[in-house]
Amino acid sequence: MLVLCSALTYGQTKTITGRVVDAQGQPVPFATVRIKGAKAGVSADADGKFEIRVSPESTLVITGAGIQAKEVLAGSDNNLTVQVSRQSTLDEVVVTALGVRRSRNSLPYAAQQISGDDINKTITTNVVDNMSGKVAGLEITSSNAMGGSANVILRGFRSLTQSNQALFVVDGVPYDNTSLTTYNNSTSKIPVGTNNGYDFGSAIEDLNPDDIASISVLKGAAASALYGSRGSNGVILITTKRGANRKGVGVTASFGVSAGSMDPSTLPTYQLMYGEGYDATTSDFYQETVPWLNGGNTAISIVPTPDDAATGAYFNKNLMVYNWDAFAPSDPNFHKATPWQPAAHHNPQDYFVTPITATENVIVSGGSDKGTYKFAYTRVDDKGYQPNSMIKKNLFDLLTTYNITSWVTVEAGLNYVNENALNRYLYQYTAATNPMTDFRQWWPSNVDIKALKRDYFNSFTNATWNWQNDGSYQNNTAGNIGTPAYHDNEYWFAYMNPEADSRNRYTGHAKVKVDLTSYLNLTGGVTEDYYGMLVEQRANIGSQAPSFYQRQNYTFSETNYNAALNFDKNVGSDFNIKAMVGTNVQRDNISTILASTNGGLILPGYWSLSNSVNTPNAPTETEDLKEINSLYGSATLSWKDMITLEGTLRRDQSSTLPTVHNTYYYPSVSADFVFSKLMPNANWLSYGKAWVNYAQVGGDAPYYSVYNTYTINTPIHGEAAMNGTTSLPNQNLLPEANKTWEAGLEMNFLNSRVGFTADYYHSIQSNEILPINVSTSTGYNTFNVNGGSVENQGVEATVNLTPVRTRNFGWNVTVNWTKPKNKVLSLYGGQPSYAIATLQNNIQIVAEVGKPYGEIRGSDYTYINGQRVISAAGTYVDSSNSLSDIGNIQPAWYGGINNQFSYKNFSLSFLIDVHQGGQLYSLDMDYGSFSGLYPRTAGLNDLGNPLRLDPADGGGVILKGISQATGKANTVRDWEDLTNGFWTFGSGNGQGAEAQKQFIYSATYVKLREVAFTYSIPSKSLEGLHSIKGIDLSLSGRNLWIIHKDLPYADPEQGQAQGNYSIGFQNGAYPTMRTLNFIVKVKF
Amino acid sequence: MKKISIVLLSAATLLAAGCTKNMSEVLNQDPKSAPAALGTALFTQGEFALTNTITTTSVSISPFRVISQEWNENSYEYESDYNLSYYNSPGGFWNNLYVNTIHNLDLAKANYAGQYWATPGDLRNSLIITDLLEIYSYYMLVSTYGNIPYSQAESDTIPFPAFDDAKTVYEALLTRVDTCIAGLDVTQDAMGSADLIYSGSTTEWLKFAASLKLKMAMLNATNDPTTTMTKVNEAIGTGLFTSNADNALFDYDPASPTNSNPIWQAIEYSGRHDFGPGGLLVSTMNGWNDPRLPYYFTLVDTGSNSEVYLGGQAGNPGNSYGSYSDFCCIANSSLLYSPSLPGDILDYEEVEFYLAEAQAQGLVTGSPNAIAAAANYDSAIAASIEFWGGTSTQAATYLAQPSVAYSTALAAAGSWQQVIGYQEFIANYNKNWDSWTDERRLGQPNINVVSPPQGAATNFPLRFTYPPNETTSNPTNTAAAVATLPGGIDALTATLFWE
Repeated sequence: MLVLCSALTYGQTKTITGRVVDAQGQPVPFATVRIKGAKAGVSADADGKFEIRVSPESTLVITGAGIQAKEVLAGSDNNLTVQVSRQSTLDEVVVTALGVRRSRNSLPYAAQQISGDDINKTITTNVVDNMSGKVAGLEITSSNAMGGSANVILRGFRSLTQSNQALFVVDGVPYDNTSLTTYNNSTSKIPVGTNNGYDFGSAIEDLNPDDIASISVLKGAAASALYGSRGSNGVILITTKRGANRKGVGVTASFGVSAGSMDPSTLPTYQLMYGEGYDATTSDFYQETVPWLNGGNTAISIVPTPDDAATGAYFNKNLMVYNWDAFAPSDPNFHKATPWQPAAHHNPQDYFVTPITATENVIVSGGSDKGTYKFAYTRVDDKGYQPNSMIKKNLFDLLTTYNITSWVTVEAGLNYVNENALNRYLYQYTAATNPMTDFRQWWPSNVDIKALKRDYFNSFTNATWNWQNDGSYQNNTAGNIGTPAYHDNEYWFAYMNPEADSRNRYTGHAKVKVDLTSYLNLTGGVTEDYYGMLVEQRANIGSQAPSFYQRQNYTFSETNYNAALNFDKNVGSDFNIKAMVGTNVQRDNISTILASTNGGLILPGYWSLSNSVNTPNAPTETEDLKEINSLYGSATLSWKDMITLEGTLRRDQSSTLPTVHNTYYYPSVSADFVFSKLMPNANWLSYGKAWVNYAQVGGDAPYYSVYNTYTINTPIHGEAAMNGTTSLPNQNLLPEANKTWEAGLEMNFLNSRVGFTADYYHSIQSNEILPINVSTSTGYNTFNVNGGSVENQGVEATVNLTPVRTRNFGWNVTVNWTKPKNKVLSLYGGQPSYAIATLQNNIQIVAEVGKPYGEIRGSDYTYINGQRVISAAGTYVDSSNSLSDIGNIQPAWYGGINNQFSYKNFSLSFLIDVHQGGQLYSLDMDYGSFSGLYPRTAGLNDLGNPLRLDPADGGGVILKGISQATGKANTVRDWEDLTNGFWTFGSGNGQGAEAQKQFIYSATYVKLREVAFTYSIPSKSLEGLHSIKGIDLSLSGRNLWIIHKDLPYADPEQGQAQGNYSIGFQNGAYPTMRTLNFIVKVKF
Repeated sequence: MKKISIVLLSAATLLAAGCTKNMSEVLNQDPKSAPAALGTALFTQGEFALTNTITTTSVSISPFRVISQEWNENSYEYESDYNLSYYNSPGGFWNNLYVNTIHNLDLAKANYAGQYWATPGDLRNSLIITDLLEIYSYYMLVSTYGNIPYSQAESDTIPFPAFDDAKTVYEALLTRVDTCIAGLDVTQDAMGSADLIYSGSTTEWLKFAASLKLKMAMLNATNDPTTTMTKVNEAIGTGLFTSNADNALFDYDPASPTNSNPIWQAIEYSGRHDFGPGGLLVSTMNGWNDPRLPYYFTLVDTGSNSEVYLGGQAGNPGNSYGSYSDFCCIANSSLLYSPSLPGDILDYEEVEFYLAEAQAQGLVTGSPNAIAAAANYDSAIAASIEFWGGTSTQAATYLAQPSVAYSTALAAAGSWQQVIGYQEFIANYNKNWDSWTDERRLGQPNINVVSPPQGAATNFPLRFTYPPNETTSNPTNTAAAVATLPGGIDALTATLFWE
């Protein structure tokens, strides 16, 4: 003890400024510099510079990502340059389960780490979006909606009905990422409101991207087994920046602004031959006498405004007609006939506004040998591209550590987020309200968006292009106008019926670490994630929908109490033993209340529950309670840093399962072998490691799946009305089980200029707990059962290349590639398929035994030798099975290629994100074709005549296929279905619409996801500016170019918010924004 | 070691404080869903759901008004053209009866015992009344789809029930009505005000049971006249509805839109105009100067300086709201535009029509009796006219027309089915499922001939196909049921046992 104490005695301490460089003299950023024998240390900055107070006889230990640890004597100089050897990423320290930092050498499972800088190159309001393409095995599906939610799927879909989203853990706090959207998401707890279908985003967007130091992705079950069932979908560990022992206060400030523009390839193109109407053949225009228009003597031509389609009359600019605006009192064309022609502003571009996002971030940090602190504040102002839409966020982060004694350290963190949003984007099929479904499915090109805007702002009325033909609109006068048939004026909806929501979120943790001995410590702590949210929905008097006001309150709370005993000791010189036992108590409480006006509003524009025509019904309440009690332990044995064996075991007891079956275990075993240590003389091989592991994890049941309940409805004439549940509970549910194994190989060659990591994984999820669709003649829609198993396997690979590395110029290439394979092995009761969702237009997303999860079902054609069969009338012959298999959502592979170039103080990077295969059904193309919007529904036929003409007049189309009658190529022109009024060429006879198979498209895309150009102002040019230590300027772009896609007019990545069936179905797809970002980072 | 002990002890205390004992029992009871139910409240819900299924205009549940051409569709003419899969009508109708109606009625029976009853007879009567509504529901199911799950239906332990033969189910239901009739004790009360049709009047429910039995028996009149005759006479003996005062009308509550009449919800509250009057119905009524016209429809100005009643041709894409008559009456906010319009599940006019059919076929006395048939026919039509607001004088004038009067009309038409069928067609204006079933039973009006929808894919539907959910969730049993259909094809035009 005496010897150790004297070694720690501070002599004449002084401040040394130093710099960490590599063999080529390039700065090595962010290395950790500490005094040997002491715990506290400092971090080097991006230029490798550090400052530390030491005595000259101290030894400094320099460690860091990608470098070999090095020890140097502090010495008497005040300036010190430490040269270290690069090790590529091999000795990197990886954050693993429960926040344990481990050397990559001893890691027996797949984990990929990305730095905070890697995800901060462009500005997004959801940090997850910036992870796309950067991690093998991680599939991110981003949304183009303002603040939209994202799917975060690691290694495929396992669960048929429960969440498949990865778990986020931030500084040890499980961080809720529940999708708050309602439609398409069985796990959402936001009450279904009247305008069900707003994308409320993912709760992870409350995280401050600027404050992230690193992200560690634990892909497999072995890596995440210690998190129990919550970790069964993989874990994304986020470590925020922390303060360091340093002189003075460190301040970093950054400012960013981004502006977007539409990618035109993701917006519809319209045919410009035919205008509004549903039936060109029998009544092109209403021929009516309107006394005040022409004296009531002769009939005038009125555009059939109730018809929300473009199968009306042929445009003819010499023809004067009364369009919708002739009945809008605020319009200059009021009571005037105008030429029958496409409007000047008929494209959605003319509706959308330029989206602008501004972020400001300040991080203040500091510390001493007694502790550290960090405080960060970020402000985000996000103006959406739909009129009157915005999100404002304020994020505060505080993280402190304090060394109470030499053996007791405490840490406390508190984050507060305040988010306010106005007019989030709708994504459900809501004909009356969703402007994007208007534009893609029902929009005749004679409608002028700017005229709608002008009319709304001139009068603040719902002057619509889609007047209800109840005879009243012809009598419209200022202040007294009719109502829409199906579609509100888009500006009326945006300004008169705004959705608004606000969220206040507090996450915090307190942790104490007690060093009992040099090799044994105890940690204990509490974590809390809490947020409260208010969602308000509205429809003003005068809207197409009945007027209402509705408010929903949502509170979420997850509390964890945990304690663990950790053991870490070297035995002899070759062995290291690590062991841990711990316990965790998790308590969830999610409650909601939803209240609405009843039967309409009394006064317009007054948003209160009391403003209700009828007595409001009782609010709808929910309260979800859950507790999971856990014990866990792990043991790791390493030999010579070359071979590592590890075993873990966790026992969970979850309250959502029946008492008799509520306990389950997660064992895992893993092994890791750094074989390059056996070949120290093989120069070509810089590093080689192989690993293999096996794990079993379990899962609990959704809330309240065990006991029977009833619902109390609104009394009828004072009589109580109750109904039984339609989902039969089950008191014999067993936990879900998942068995996974994984094997991987990591090798680096040629001085680590070429390297790869590859692994294969295989998992089988069985005993899935799901509400199985039963025959509804049981009286139930579903029975809660155990049944079904799903297999996931795949290959993941990451390749690193450094084609050029000189003193001034560097070029790094990182490729991530994943080839997943998913298969439904069996379902409950021997059923051949299970409908995961039935969507608009009766499209089903199903799990079908023997096929990958996510088979798309809908109507199909009949075929002879692969060619479509044509009837004698020239129409397709549809299959009698309206639920044929017509596509599958699973991709063949996906990946990303990231190139980084650096030249002196300049750096340039670009990321190409590829998603190959998988299919989607476009409701937009289906309904929009049916309504005659798209160029495919107009134009000329093989005879050079308009194909919408009667074949007797030379019109119609010859559909490609085999004639049912002759067995030869079809020669009959199809037209007769046009008598149905819609564009229905190519439909089956009498079906009224084309088979849904027609609207299955490949979901493949290749995107230039990210381009970033950064210039770091050389520190010497900042010398005049005292206190400024560095300025980085960067110009970046996001989603600049969709290099390849097959889907017309839309982005194939655009889905339906977050959830198990959010992909594979497009409805009102929002366009892709190309954003340009300018970011300034200043360090003080 | 002391510091280790202190630390461990405090950690253990902290954790022990966190755990909940018996947590699976304590935390698994949903605090915001009722753990128990009142039988009478479940009955009210079941009665409400049955009435809604019969009353609703939703084409995803009950597209019958449109198929039978009482009503017509504007713009979206799928059901007019017999495309019933587009909005999954077969699934909606099936679920509304099996899940929303029968399931709750079953639960009501199971929960009655937990409530206070003044006498055991009250409880027994309540069980029987509840059963009558179940019988009604199953009757509609079996005569809509054919074979259906019955003996294994409504079970917590059989997720994929077998289908029973349609005729067997039908006969079992008739027996079940007999049991109800025998068991109803009119000296005792029942569930009282929880019954929003008769307020628990057992006298009325007994008439209802007899009238339901008559209705069910007439379904199979052509195929099995012997049994039908027996059942008809038994029903007459029990005592049928004798006036509009007996009508089974559910009292919708306008205090809340969801408890209001679903027709009002669809055509007024929603702000949509999806439907208009059927052209065949309007022209038929115009031809006979029907006094119900002003109660059914509004006049429309067609531009030729005269206001007329006008309906649209089924399946014609040119149908647009405003160019045809509307349902009556917006101006005085009554009838179909009233949120409190009662839901009609069985009525007197219907009973008289069945009796007229029975007399015409000789199913009362054994030989056809045109005079008796005419009397029932007159009573039925008068009851309908008066039900909608007309007077007995108007009825008499109407019936005096040679084209309407039973004997002269029969002589002209040649078939009693046509005479009675057209009058039922008119009276069925707001009778949803019955309007379709009467056309299936009598073949009149013969839609395939007199008014085939423009663009229809098939002939007039004679049944519903099985819901997609049954085909996918219960494929083996559904396939077995389909195999018994003509040609083994699950078609809308397949005939059922009584057709």
